[in-house]
Amino acid sequence: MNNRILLVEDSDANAIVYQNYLTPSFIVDTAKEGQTATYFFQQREYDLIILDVELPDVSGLSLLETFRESNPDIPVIVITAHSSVDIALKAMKMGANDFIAKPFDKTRLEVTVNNLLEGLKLSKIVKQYESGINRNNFYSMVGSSLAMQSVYHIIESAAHSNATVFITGESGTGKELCAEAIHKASGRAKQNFVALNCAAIPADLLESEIFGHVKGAFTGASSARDGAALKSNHGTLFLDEIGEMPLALQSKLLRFIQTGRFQPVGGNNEIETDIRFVCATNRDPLVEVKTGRFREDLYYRLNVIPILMPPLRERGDDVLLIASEFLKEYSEVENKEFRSFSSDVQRLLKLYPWPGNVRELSNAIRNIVVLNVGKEITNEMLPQALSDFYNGKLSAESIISELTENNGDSNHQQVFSENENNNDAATMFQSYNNQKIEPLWQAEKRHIENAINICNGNIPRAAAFLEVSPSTIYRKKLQWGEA
Amino acid sequence: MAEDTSPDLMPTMINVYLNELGKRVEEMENAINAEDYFQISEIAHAVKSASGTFGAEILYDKAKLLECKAKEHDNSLDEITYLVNDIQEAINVTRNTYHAYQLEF
Repeated sequence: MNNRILLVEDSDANAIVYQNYLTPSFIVDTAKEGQTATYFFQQREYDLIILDVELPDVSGLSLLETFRESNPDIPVIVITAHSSVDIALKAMKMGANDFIAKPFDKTRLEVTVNNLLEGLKLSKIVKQYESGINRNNFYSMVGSSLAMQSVYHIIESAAHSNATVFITGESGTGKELCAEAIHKASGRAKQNFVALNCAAIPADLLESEIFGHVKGAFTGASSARDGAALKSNHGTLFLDEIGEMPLALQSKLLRFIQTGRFQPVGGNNEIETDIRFVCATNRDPLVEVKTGRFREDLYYRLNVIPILMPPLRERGDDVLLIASEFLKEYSEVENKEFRSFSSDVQRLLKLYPWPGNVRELSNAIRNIVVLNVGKEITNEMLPQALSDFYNGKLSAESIISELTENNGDSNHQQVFSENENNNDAATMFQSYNNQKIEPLWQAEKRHIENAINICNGNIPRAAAFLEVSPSTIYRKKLQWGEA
Repeated sequence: MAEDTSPDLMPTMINVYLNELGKRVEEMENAINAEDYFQISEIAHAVKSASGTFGAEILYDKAKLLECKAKEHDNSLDEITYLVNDIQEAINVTRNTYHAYQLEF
């Protein structure tokens, strides 16, 4: 069955041409003004809307808002004879999927329509698949995205094994929650889960924390003490930030993992244990191996079951699920009445890059709940960083690059090599945080700005030479924070 | 446009365009009599839009100029009236040209 399109265009001449561009591939209903368009929209189900900005009774952009509130997913193409960047940016901010400046030909319209419908079809398939899986959470982890379903699947598959799990991911992505889930899903759930953060313990005390010590082992050791290894016997030992472990201790840890036996600090007798090991780091382990900060043999010993915790920005609607949980929790704790987020705030939560991931989201929601009153979270209540992003003062790239510069955090992304015959493990993963290589968006921005300069500021002409639509350039300028 | 739609449809589509132009001339007359600059710019925008679609480049450029001038509030009524008259003439010429073109189909 053909897709049905609602065309909102007050010019009879334009309307008849656009209708003939689209039929017979599509069924087209035409409305000349906002009132008729609203009526049609309420009566029938449409697959796509083509919306003129200038209408006799209402602004096309405010009509866009109305359509979006009823149907957040319907693709909308905004068309106008105004080719200004402001209108294009405003339309995209208000939820338009694409923007075409008049006059345009059949090919331009068809390509845009077909691309959006294809995207909608794929989105529906993904949603069907996600809803079929029917898991919004897994132990303490909240999330229904495909990325998290994959994590849940690995945990379920690996839980009952004794194989070591190596969890990687940016800071704040829930690595400890993942480790806890592995423990709870395993046959060791009734035994101890002991978590040790290797970055939080001074290096000279770390060995004692893990293996314990005998009385008199060092100055201050006035009595014997059990370490995490003994406390987690028959259970799970989670070593977080394992990349911070000193090299000398790494070799002792390797032996411990391989044999299950260890000696407390200052002790002579070996103790045998049965432990399931889970480790985590927010650094790129292969970069650490290459730079000599992490033992290669320990890396391969640990990396039996790798789990990559996805960053929040790649988890789709999970941000809303998690934000709602935090809102409920903090509203109860702080005795407030917040129940929901406005549609604008929901859109912002999905667009904001969350460099601090779930931890940052938690802080933001708590900040809003503590400092405001009301039943619904609105734009005015947003903390500074989110507010600046919403107002276009910050771009996603600048937020992420500022965080990695300030914290020295290896904000890494792993890329798998397509060369299956390459046995050098170090080349299978590449970090994009290498400052000698210019980020792709900067190179792209320079190229686009150069094209615009050559065309004397004419964006549609520059777009034609670049073989993209003008709306693509307007969208990128919005992302760069340029109005 | 004939390739993008069909030669058979061209007479009908041109007819719609010419009718719309006729309507816009009347609207513009009313707007200039009322000295309604906003309305003049809206009508000019509509003429520009349709003329762009139908390839009437001269009329497109004139409509674009009138739209721009009508939006600037520091132009005199005489200047706007001159531009309106100019565009009305251009519309008449365009109508005649397209009517002749229409007969070719």
